[in-house]
Amino acid sequence: MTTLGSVLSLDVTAVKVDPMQVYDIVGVLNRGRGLLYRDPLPGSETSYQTLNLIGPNQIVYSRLKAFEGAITVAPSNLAQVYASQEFPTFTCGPRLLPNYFRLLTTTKGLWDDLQNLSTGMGGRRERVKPADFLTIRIPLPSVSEQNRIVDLMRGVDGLVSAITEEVERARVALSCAAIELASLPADGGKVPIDSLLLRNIGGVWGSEAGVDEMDVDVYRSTEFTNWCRLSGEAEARRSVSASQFRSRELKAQDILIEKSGGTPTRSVGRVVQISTGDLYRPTIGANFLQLLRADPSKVSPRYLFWTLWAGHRRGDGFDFQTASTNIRNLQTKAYLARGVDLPCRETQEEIARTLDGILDCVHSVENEAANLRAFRSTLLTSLLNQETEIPESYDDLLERVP
Amino acid sequence: MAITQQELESRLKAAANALRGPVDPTDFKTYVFPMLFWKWISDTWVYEHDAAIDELGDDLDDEVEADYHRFEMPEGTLWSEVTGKVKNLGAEIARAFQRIEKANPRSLAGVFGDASWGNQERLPESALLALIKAFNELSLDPTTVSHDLLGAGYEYLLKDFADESGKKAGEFFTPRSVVNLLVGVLQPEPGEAVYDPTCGSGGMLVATINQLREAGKDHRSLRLYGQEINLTTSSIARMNLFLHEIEDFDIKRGDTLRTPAFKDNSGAVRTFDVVIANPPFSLTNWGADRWPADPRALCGVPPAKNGDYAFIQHMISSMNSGSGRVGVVMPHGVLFRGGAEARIRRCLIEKDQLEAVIGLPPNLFYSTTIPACLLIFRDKKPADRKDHILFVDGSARFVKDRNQNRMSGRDVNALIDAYRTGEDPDGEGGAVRLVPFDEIKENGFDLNISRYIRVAAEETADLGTALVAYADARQHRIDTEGVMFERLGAAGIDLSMFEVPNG
Repeated sequence: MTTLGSVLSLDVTAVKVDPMQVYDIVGVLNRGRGLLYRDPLPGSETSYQTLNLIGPNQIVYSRLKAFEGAITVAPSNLAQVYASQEFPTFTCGPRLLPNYFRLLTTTKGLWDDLQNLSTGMGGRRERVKPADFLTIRIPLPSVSEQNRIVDLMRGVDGLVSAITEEVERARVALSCAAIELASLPADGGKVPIDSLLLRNIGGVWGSEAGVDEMDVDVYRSTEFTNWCRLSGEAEARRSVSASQFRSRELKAQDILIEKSGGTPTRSVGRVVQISTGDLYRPTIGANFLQLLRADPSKVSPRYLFWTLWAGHRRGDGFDFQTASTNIRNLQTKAYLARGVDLPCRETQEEIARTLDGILDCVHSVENEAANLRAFRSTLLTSLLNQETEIPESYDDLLERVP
Repeated sequence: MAITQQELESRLKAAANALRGPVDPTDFKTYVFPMLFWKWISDTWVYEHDAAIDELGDDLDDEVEADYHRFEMPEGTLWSEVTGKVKNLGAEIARAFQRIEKANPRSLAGVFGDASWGNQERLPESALLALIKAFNELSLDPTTVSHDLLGAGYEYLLKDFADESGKKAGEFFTPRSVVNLLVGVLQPEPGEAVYDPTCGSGGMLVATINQLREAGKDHRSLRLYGQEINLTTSSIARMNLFLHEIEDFDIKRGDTLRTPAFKDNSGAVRTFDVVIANPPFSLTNWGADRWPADPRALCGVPPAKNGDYAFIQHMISSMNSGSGRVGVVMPHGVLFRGGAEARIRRCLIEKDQLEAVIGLPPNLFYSTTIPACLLIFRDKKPADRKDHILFVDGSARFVKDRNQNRMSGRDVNALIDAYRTGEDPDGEGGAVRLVPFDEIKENGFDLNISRYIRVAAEETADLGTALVAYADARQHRIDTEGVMFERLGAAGIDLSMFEVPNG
């Protein structure tokens, strides 16, 4: 382990601000995610007297946000960019490769070090001073070993990017398939959705656990994902009356629809369908959710779910949301009064199976991506603490690959 | 010795900070702006006086000297003459202000507002002395501070006070990104008359000047008019325009809806080329009782508890025939609310003067977090926009700041481009749409933006395209995986579980 002060040095190029110039400004993203490119800043519009010039391959961190891991190494092909004096810059000496240190900036170990340095007195957070930063100790293998680690991790990171892209593309394909196969006809269909339901009731929030007749788990829209499943167990434990529970108890195949939420680019109305794996104890939906239970004699419950999900992805909710504040509320009654043209039962089941097949594929790629990220992190740790040593023969590969 | 904008701003900030503690921050503007203005006209008068002496020496008499001065300063009213006094300083300042206003009845009547300078409860002597001391360190004659700089410094203080005042700031300050957007859309030209019926501190009017300046056009021929109900704020607006070196302006104080101040010879409201405003949203008690007989009620009388459509109709009534255009900031509710407002909305749409509806991001304003929009009316719409309304969705164009969202310069320019070209600046077509009258009629004259524009999700692509993109991504991942396996193998890591050959 070596202190940073022995392998890199503070190297700040402060430039006096010229009111006639326009400066390209950067910040630093947290968790080692690189530079944040901000809007150009006219010199006449800033109160800063000087700005720091960030050079290619320089280490830069945010003194104030260092505790969140806001540190990175500037790319080697960086154009001229500037940051305020809150962003000190350092240049690596000959024993430390910038690309090796860039890997370190993505590790929790370095973020923890920065957090410890920025814990001030009496709960107030202090900025990380450059002199303190230089006291951090890092593992420092030889330059040739650093080179091997950098190259190996570049290969892994390439796959992380590629699989992230694949997840996105798979999700879009699922949306398009669902919209094409299961969404409501734009000009309305013959059978109102709400006539296909055995149950159609808003959730309740109840009281603190232990106050009312019985305690239950409560799902909220915070546990929704955009991709048809809940993100985990219900976090909330509340108490409700027995009658409230009886009319709202969640069962497998029930659909929960979000009645309040949405963003400027995504309407309210996300849906999930409950599976047996989501039910650990007696469970209900919260007050901002609507419980829909399909009547299986009239419609395939899974087909109905896909219809609602596809409609939401298509943006149907925009026509049925009131947005008098930043909170968008679904006009649930009107939304569910829309008509659907149901294909025969066999076709409903077939469409549901097709979409489930694509969904399984999306989930498996999502899971693979999550596992790959975990692998990346473990591999990097084991390379840094030298549990895994890369043999010198690796250099043959480096010579072969440009 | 000229000073930089930074120096000026930090001095002005220091002056305001002199009041911190004994004076409520929402009152800072009441005291700081008159002092700043007084210091400026005093220093300028002294500078002009020295220039007159340099030029004429002993030949200078009062009558000749008057030609050298923009404002008359009666003896004993200069900054240095008054602030040196030790007794009843507040009362002395108030008296000097009265005398200056009286000596310049056409230009400065009422400009210093009605702050209670002598009231030690509201403005303790210590705070006043600290304020004077801070301004003493700042010379404001033309050789030290140019008009542009002083105007920018004034705007800086306005924004700073708005930040301090929080919600209350909505009464006098519109975020500059919204102002720049409105002015950019309406494009005032040299020689035109621009009118803001709820002008606050004059930001919209100043922005029209700045825009012409930046475009290299002659801004001095613009004629600016404004009305503002609040006395202090209307004074701040007048000082703002003076400091921006604008001569041809007329700011009147009063209630625009009850007693519009600008009338023509026949008693009708006067008309202007550009009418621009950010009125108070959903004003209750706005004076509905007088409107049934008011010719401004072009399409009907708005609800007594909501003045939004009163402002809109007042502005349309104030628009010149031919060249006239109106830009107004409104809450989204005006687009879809029912009752009397629905009838007024329908009538206005049928007149075919509503050219565009531009949705703004949420939480931009000081006084409200509700999303707002801009309505743009034109007396004569261009041929290709007749019987249509252009919808522009700017709701996602913002940057998150600590307490408020803001639009960057890039966001503002993108929306101006979208309005001018009728095309989505991102080339995706999703956020801009020219909608025919028939479609609006089918929707019951509801102008809710989301009825006409779906924020384009990628999944509106067809399935075939989406599957090709997915297949490409999957193939790319498989190729990349090969590269990684080669490296892991070379690093001596066991890959047998992947069934790929090592090494």
